[in-house]
Amino acid sequence: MRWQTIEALTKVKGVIVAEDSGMETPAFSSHSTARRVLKGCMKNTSMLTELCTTLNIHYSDMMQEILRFTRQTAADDRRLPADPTELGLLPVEGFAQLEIPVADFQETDRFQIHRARCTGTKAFRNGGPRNDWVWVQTGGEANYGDLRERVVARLLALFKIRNILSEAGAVHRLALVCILDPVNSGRFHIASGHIRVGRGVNGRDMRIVSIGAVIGQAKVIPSGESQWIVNHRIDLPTFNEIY
Amino acid sequence: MRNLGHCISAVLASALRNPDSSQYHDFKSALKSVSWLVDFSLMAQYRSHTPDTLSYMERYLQTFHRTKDIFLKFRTSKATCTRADRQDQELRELMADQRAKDVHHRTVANRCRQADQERVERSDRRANLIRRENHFNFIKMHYVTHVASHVRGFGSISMYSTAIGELAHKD
Repeated sequence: MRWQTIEALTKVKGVIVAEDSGMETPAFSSHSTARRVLKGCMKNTSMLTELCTTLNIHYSDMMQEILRFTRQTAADDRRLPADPTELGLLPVEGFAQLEIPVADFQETDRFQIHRARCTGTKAFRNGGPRNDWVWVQTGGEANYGDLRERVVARLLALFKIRNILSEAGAVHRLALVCILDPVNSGRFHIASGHIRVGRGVNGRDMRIVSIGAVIGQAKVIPSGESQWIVNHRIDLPTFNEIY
Repeated sequence: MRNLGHCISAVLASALRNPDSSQYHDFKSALKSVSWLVDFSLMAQYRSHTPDTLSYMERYLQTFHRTKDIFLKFRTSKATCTRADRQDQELRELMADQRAKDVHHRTVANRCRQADQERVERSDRRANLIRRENHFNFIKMHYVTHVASHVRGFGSISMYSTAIGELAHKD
């Protein structure tokens, strides 16, 4: 992680991303808030089918989740088309890294940059594939107990999709994540003093979220089969948010 | 300690996740003790404090001191080990002498029962000696009791960190 001040973060050239929506604004304007940056553009991922092939994801699952995401967004000219055929023709760019600025504890003008990697099935630096764990803000969908409206998820894909069919030509910056369900409704385990998360038994676990909903890297430690312990003592911000 | 503290609690929780009935209490104490110490360590890194955070810190430390005895047996020095071995040997010889005197008047079952009792007694005496000799009276353990009063008197301890100076001496 690298320390950066808010001034340094605002000097980053290139795309401008609205913090809450993850949508790129085509106009040139100064944006003073810290923003997430997608990096490491993948080759041969110009359409959704190619992206799914590269990342070894079922195209039907991806399409289903994008359509669900589209239905949940506001109906305006920036919205993605609800027709799967039109959606499949939109230009896409896949990425391998998401830089997330996380405000430092008790220092509101300093940020730690969390670099969440998502290489799909490809090796990361001559090692195995790397698909990092992240925190996803759910925004009141469920309370999740002591996790306080946030869930642990594994990054499966990071991509940008441009809606060329609309006049605005808005770019949506999205992440496909595999969400883990909190065990015991997200309450602390009495004996160990930690929150546990695990794979859902019946419900859908893959979701498309805007990169604005990814609020930082999560640290989990495997604990038995398909269960993980959330390490909330990894840093001061996490320690103060989960207690 | 700082980097270890970031992960030790969760790693320990994962490693000790399946205790049997005899281990449950010990594992729970060990986890609690480590967690309270890590919480204290994290809270000591705050850049500013309130009376509430200081009272939390003191409570964490008190709870750590109450539960830390679970690690006492791992602080046995070589001298204590030697003394315990010597005591064990002396007891064994004493018991063997007593057994030799009245061996003809006892049945096999009685002898087995007596051997078991002797083993338990030796083990208890060894544990008592180790508990009596081991302690946490060393300077680092004492210093942490002054952190809260130091913060009240001089402010947050992070500005007294020697990490930057130590880093400058690295080759």
